[in-house]
Amino acid sequence: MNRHLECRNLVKAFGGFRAVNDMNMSVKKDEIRSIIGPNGAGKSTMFNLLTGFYPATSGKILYKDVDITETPAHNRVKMGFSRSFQTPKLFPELPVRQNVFLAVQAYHSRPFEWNVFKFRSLDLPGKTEELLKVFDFSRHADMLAGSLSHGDQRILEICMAMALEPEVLMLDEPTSGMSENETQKTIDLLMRIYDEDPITMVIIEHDMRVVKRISHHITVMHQGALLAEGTYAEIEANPLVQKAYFGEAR
Amino acid sequence: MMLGKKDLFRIGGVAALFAVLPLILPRVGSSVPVGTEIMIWGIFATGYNILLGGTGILSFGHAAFFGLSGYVTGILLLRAKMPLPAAIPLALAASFVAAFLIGLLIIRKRGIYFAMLTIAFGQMFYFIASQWNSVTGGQDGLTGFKRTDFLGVDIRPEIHFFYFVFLFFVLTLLLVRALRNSSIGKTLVAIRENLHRAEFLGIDVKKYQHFAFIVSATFSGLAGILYVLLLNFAFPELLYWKTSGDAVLMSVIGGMRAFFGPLVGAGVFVFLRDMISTLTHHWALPLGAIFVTFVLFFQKGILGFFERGKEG
Repeated sequence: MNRHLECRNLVKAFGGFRAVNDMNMSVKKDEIRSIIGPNGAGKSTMFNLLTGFYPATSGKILYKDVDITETPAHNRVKMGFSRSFQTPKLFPELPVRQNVFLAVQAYHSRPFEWNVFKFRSLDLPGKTEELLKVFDFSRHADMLAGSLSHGDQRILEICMAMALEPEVLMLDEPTSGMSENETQKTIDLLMRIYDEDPITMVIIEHDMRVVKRISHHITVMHQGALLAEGTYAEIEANPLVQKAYFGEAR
Repeated sequence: MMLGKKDLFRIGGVAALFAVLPLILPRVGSSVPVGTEIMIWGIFATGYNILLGGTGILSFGHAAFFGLSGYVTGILLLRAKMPLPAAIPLALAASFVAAFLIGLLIIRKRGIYFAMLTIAFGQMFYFIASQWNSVTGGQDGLTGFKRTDFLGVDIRPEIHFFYFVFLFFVLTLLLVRALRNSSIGKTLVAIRENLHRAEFLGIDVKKYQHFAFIVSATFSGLAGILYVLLLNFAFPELLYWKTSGDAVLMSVIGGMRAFFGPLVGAGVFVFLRDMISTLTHHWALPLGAIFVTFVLFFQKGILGFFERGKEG
């Protein structure tokens, strides 16, 4: 099972506009894949298709060679997907601890969702505290999630995503809006997660330094379609990419 | 544990307060049935709040279940001569099944569209009740039945019926508290706080919303059964959307984020209505003014105002 996540001829049309237009991509197991491209290239739309947030107009999405194009988002999560959003989606009016707890509970309740009595056997609060510690939230555990700094909210979202023990972690611009310091902290965190237990990661990222440091392979999107694919060195040397992307950035 | 010591202590305190209510009410110019009514609306509002405060869904259609179970009780007593212990479960089942079917159709709609559809379904029940003369008694309502006994206990005297309702009332508080403490209750809060995050934690949002809809509707049904037994009368206004509005009002006045909020709201609502209606026919006017005051100045309700920041 080398192809972990794959899409074939994927299309998403909003009215007459094709945000994702005949996109193909194949991500290997335990690979870190960055998706880059200029604004409006369709990266986030692509993400929303892969995670089931939007239904696809046409094309196919395969997960471990199983067609999941029609699978609802929550079932994809149960299959091993986990994601963050460009603007963090948390439970802003609940304490940080409760945010993490709800994620821990959601994961561990899967086998017996409606059997409320089985929960006594699980140490959900203990698992929650463990995660809070790993993600360095112990001191802020009683704060409301909405009152955390933007950077910390993003990290909390990654923490909740990891509470689901995913096989595919999908992060939509995890470092955008972060300070230099926070960006560094986030990269270190992601690398630590990966080094401890490799999982497939698909990351949309604008910051090329981040892309360079973490990705094994890079997919470049342009106008809703695939422009180029390869390692950082290959992408950097690609004249098409330079024109469409690096040209703008420099 | 699904019910902590603190929960049992608080519910015990409320139960103790209500247990002595029949001694207090006549001394403050009220009467025992007013206490019974407070408990009935307390059941209605506390159950309703599983949906509103607990899941973040606004329904204006729960009068349909309140009235449906009420009518079914009356019809079973009157036309089938059924004893109460058999009629009550059947009447509850009616709301359960109706909520399951209606929920199946409308739970996919969000926000205002959902609220509008609940009004539409509720009004449908209202028109059926007011037109189907041969079964429901039409506009005049359903009369000719009387509560008599429950498993040999005479519940005709108001004071007996008070304690009969009291049992269901305490049971409701315990059950709803346990539900809201449980993993399911916490999942509902997750859905209330952020639908999309809940979905991406792998929660089948629609299924849980449907569940909350059915459970809250069943408690509405229980309240409706007891209300019809209190009055020995079922009438179309039970099903009218304004009855649903009363549950919203109670939740907002008392505080929908606090567990006892809707109960406090029910108490204030029924007590004030009883008091004001002895003075003027236009009791809805001052009550409306109170409602507006709360929406404008005390958005978290009476209990929310006193225990800011706590989660009920």
